[in-house]
Amino acid sequence: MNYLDDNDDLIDALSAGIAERMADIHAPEDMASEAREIARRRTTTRALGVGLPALAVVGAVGALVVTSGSSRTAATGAVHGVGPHAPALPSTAQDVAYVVRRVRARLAVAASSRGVVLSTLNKTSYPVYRSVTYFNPRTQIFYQTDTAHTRRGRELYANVDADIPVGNHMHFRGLTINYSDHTWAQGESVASGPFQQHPAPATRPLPPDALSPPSAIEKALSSHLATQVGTTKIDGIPVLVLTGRAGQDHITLYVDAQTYQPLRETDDARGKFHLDTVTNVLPATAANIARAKTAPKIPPGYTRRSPTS
Amino acid sequence: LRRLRSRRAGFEEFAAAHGDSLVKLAFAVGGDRHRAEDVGQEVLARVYQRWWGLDDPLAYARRIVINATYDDRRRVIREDRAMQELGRQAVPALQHPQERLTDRGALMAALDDLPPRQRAVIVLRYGSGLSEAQTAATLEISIGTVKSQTARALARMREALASEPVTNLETA
Repeated sequence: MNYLDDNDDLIDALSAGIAERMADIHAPEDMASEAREIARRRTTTRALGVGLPALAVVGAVGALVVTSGSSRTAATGAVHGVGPHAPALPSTAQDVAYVVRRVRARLAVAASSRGVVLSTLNKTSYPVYRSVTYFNPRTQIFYQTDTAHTRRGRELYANVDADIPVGNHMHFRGLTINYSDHTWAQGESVASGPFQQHPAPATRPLPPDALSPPSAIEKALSSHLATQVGTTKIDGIPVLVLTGRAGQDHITLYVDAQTYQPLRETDDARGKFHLDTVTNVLPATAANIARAKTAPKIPPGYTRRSPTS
Repeated sequence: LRRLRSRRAGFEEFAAAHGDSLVKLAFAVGGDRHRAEDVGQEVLARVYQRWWGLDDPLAYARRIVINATYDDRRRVIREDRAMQELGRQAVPALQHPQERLTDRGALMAALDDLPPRQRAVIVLRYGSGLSEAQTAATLEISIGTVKSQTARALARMREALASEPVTNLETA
């Protein structure tokens, strides 16, 4: 029979052909555990998207430092150490020029969009985490500093910054200073993408957050995704107090009453893992960006910890 | 902690049940084995990150597989253009040259030559066995669009095959 004339035969042949092609394709055995590791490492980005507190970000930085120096292959996909195990980078002058062009293009976009600075305080319990994050949603430029304070005082400082994604790779650098055991560690890693310019759409609508543009605030109010529960003032500016719920997480958003620009977000996650955080949205001035980017000096006498220890 | 353990257990179960099929889907749509493994891992990472917010993790995972392969295609096209500008030979996006030697290979080559969305519809419908409604939900398009894309894809494949010296799949 000539299958060109019959859709059913063509479809049968397609099903058989696709099945044959896929027959010897299998997921690598360690794919799930690798995926979990990648997910932990990406908590920094996730924290910006859904409002997780600095606690998780510190964990991600820890993972970043600990895994530095590993040398997984490109085929398994994920994170490469830098230095002796650096990932294969383009070797010809033309390739380098191409990459440089792309980076410059991204930087030009960055210059036209200043992004935001978020100052977050997780006040649930000791240790109290404070973080300052600079994030540009359009370019993915990202800097963050975290400090953990216990009852005894400052115990941990962590700083991470991530370059603009180039192709499928994003370069992270991290520094941690442990004030309790007088050690410090520094690490670098390259995470593989794809990295999207904007967060992937959620499967269910989420209430607006500190990164939402004013247009999204208006839309959320008209669609009852957020509800106005009152008014107040922040630094003398009249603000609307909005609330929204994402699962068990309760979000309160304070937006400028005239512009709808978010100024503050408080998150109260009432699941088994209770978290209470306050995030202030600051203008992306050079001084505020520096707060997210600048690492403190390592105190004299501190010993360097191996990234793998 | 129980909540975290429950996420891990649920995720492990999900990955064991669907990891293979997601990598196979990525390979069927994208055509690169190593990249398919990367995509599978990427998809599982995203599922793990969003575990609590997903009503249907499998549908979400399939959608991310398709989107990742779209992104790959766009990236390959962009990079090919850049390479061409530099006077270098572009690398073919899909790599099944050996299949072209067989009749079924010609059919699969015709599949590879389809535009990305049509190829995704065909693979989801006839490779993954999804219904029109499931395919529509995965690709976030209407059922009508699934029907029209399917019809166009089959017609396009028949047209491509008509120019090949192939008459009977039994010889494959």
